Amino acid sequence: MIHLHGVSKTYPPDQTALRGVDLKVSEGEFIFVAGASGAGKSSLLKLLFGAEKSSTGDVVIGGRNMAAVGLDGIAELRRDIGVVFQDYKLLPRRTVLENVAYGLEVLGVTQRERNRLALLLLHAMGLNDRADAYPVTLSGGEQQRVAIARALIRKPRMILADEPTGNLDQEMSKRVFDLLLEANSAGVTVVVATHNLSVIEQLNKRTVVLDRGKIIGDFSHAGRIRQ
Amino acid sequence: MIPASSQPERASIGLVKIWGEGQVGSRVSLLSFTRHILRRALGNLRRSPVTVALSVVTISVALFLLSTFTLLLHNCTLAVSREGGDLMVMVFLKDSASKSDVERLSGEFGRLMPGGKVAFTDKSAALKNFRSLLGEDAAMLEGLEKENPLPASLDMQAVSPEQAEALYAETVSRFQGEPAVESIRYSRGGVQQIKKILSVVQTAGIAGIVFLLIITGFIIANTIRLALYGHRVEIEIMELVGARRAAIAAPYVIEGLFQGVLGALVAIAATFALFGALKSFLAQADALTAVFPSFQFLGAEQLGLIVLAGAAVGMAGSFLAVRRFLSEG
Repeated sequence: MIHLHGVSKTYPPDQTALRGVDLKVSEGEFIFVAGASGAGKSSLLKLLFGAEKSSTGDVVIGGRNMAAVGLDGIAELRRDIGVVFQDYKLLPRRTVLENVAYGLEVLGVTQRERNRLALLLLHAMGLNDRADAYPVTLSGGEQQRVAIARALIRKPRMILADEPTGNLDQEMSKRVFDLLLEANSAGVTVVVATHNLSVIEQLNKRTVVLDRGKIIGDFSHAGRIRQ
Repeated sequence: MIPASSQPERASIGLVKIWGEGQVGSRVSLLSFTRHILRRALGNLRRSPVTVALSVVTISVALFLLSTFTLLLHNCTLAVSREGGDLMVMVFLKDSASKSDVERLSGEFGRLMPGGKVAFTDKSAALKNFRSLLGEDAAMLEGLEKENPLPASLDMQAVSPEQAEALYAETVSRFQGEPAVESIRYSRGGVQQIKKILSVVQTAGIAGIVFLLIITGFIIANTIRLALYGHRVEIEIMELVGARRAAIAAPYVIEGLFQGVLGALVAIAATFALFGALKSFLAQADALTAVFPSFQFLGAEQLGLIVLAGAAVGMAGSFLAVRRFLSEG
């Protein structure tokens, strides 16, 4: 699903975010990318959904080398990727229902079809009574679940989450990760960037540790990280 | 921290069931897509009325200058054409010219200008015309009846200034030096001068207006760019969910189109008001009424072109702004 080979990323004038990263992630895998702030986690995720191009090396997603993919190709690729951010990135002037359905709206999916799917997801997440509310009236946990619902609505092949629980308490964090785990159980590849070691240890999944842009560890189970 | 082994069971939300079989969201329709684009365009217009008004005013000022210039040029051209239609090429004949010479030359001149008229003015008619031209001073011509110095002439009236021009050139090249011909005259001087000035004004004016429209396009581009910064979160989310660039840009281009057309309509309305004022002014000024006997407003074709210019400037400005904004990432 994901294959990074010798990937480096340097921002002008000379700020190096990633150095010689090699990484393989199989389809249907759940993987944490851990590291302190500034370790290169967000830069790595940006390469994965085509927001940035690597300075050197190859980034291959679903068999396609990102260096050779044009802008419309990246747009097409993103239809298979759900992205979740710490700051939710919801549209403030749209209702919860419209936010969830937005990924289908921009593609021209009929209103009936997109609302049907969005309502099903909101109902399943216990947010159906907030469908007509605006994001600003929701708690942080609710907003993040709405963002995840938007990412899930198109049955993505991969979800990329950048510090998805960074602003949430433990209970809300758990609910968010429950959703990501269920998506993973349904066959979705999940990549979560986080600096929260306790979350990583709780879920006990494969974890790649970054430090100053380099991979310093790739652990099949979180239990071995502290060792 | 909760140990993995003691974590409570996760309650499934039934994602697989929700997704169901086949491709999720496969019911795509062009109508839904168009509705989405138009909804965003309308939302953008509603969200920033001041910015929209500024763009419309900018476009209408530029197009008002364009349409006023076109209006004046249009009427000057009409006036010159009208004047030019009366132009005559006059071939003065020697006293020795015989009746057969007159008939032969009349026939040849008639063939040179299809649709035009050839009239013969004999010596006595020429004197009579000259007398009426002099009016009260005609007394000074007393006694000239016996030794009339004025020549007979063949007066050729062309159907257009272009025909008169060609006729004069042809007549000079073929008949200058003919035994029966004294001289050839074409009183075009003043009108030709005006035509040349009009031509220069037209070229300079068009260049100025094109420059003005380009500047307007850049102003629109910057106005839309400001609006784009206001919508950057929405654009970022659209990019994240896989919207194509054309789908992201389309609402802004529609917004530019709307602003351009509205600006053009405002400009046309203002020009029409100016036209009304000019027309009533001309009606009171006798000297100008003679030059512009029927001061006309712009035709449908010219008005259509002004609206098109507004639409093009609005759309091009928006397109440039979006393209630049998206490439800045």
